[in-house]
Amino acid sequence: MWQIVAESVQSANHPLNQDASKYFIPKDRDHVVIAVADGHGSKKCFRSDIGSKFAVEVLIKNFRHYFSRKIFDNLLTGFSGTKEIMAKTIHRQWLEKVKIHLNSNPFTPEEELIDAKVLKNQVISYGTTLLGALITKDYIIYLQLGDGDILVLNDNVVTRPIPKDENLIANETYSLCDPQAESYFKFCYQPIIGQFPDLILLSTDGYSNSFPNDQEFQKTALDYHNLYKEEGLDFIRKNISGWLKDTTINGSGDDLTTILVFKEIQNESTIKGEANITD
Amino acid sequence: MQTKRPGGVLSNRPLHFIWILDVSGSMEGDKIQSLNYAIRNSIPAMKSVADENPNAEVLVRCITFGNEVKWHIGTAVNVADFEWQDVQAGGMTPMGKAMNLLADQLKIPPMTDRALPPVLVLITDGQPTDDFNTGYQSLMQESWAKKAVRLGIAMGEDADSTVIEKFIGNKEIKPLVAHNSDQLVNFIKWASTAVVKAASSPASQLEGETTTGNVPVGSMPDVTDVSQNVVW
Repeated sequence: MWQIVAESVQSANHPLNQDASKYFIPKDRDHVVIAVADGHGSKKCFRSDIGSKFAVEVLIKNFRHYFSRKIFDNLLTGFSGTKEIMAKTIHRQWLEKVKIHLNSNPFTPEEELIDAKVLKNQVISYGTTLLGALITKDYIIYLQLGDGDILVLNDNVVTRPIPKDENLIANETYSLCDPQAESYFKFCYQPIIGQFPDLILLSTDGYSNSFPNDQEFQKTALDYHNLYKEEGLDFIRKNISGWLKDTTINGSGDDLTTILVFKEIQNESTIKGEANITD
Repeated sequence: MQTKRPGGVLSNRPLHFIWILDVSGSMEGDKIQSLNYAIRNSIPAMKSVADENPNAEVLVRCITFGNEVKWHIGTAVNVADFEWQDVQAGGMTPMGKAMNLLADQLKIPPMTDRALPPVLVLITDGQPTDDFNTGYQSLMQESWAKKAVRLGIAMGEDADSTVIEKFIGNKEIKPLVAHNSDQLVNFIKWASTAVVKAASSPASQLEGETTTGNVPVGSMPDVTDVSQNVVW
């Protein structure tokens, strides 16, 4: 029913890739969970590559938990309370992972000297965004904290289930390291009425920032879908790393990570070599 | 298969650098000559910094306030093509109106939401002769003004440091007081190189983490060096 492509490339300007991504497809393939996170990479957030990995792990775990217990079924009304609980849980579990990591890996003498404020509140060093989706046959739930992009393609029309936050300009973003992070989570519950979307695209902000405007960026969704139809999934898998490198080199210069979920086209070969990722 | 790369045309991110220059009558003579020299002198280094980061497009403009408030260089020019046009001194110090003029250009549009934090550099030798506060309030209503790196250079001790500090709006960044031409060159070079370099970094910052902009500007230039003659 679904085909997934995930790729991440490192910026030439960064010593390491601070983005993370993860997805899960169960054996019966009745749902898909995808997650992308963008570690901030600023001087203060020197462990954000670890923070972003924790973030995608926590999100995958939570979506799987909620799905297995059918908590999101028939939630067209009354989603509000559930999403608040989920935001709090994700934030709490991410903080727990960070604290465990800090206990095992205290700041080095060099890290202690980086910033006095971070030394007092060491969670800041793990700061990251988070976005993801739970995709089922009956509904899709999108989640976003901070910058990044979620595009949905339906009949050649690209939409954003979660609108861009106009407050987030100049590289500023909400973060899991914020004590109030749960209040900045945004959700969208979308029941499947009629067709499943042709494509769902999640990406870190390095992707959209590589284009002069949103219109040029949104062409990516249309182009990926056309490539899937015309050239097939293997063609995309073979070339996507080069495309993303070209994009960041000639665009934002940022780490760039994306996950693409295609609605399977009839007669398309079944997923080859697709690893089911489990906790 | 680069030709099949998904997406439209690619673009690096704009970084707007705007000089806001006092060209009032008190700047006549040595000060205005030094200012023209210092800015012209800073351009090669600014171009070098821009070359080092092809993911940022450094765009330069200039507002002057004196006999009139105007865009001395109104079209944002890529620093690679930028040539300094000398400014002339004369008139009062309508700094408040300059803030209004600046505010108009920091709206979205004409700014885009994907720009890098702008760098705004105010240089003055005196104090406003109009309503600075109203102009400043108008400026600070714009998101891009709040997120900008705002710097202030005083030419001599007569400049109104309170006004410059208000413009900067960050206790960690002090007004730079230039007492002579060499110091002015040094400060202008710092603003147009080190700060531009910091602002062109794509690293994300925590929302609301800083009081002005979100760019750690690094070490400030040495302001205690008054070993040379105090001219201004």
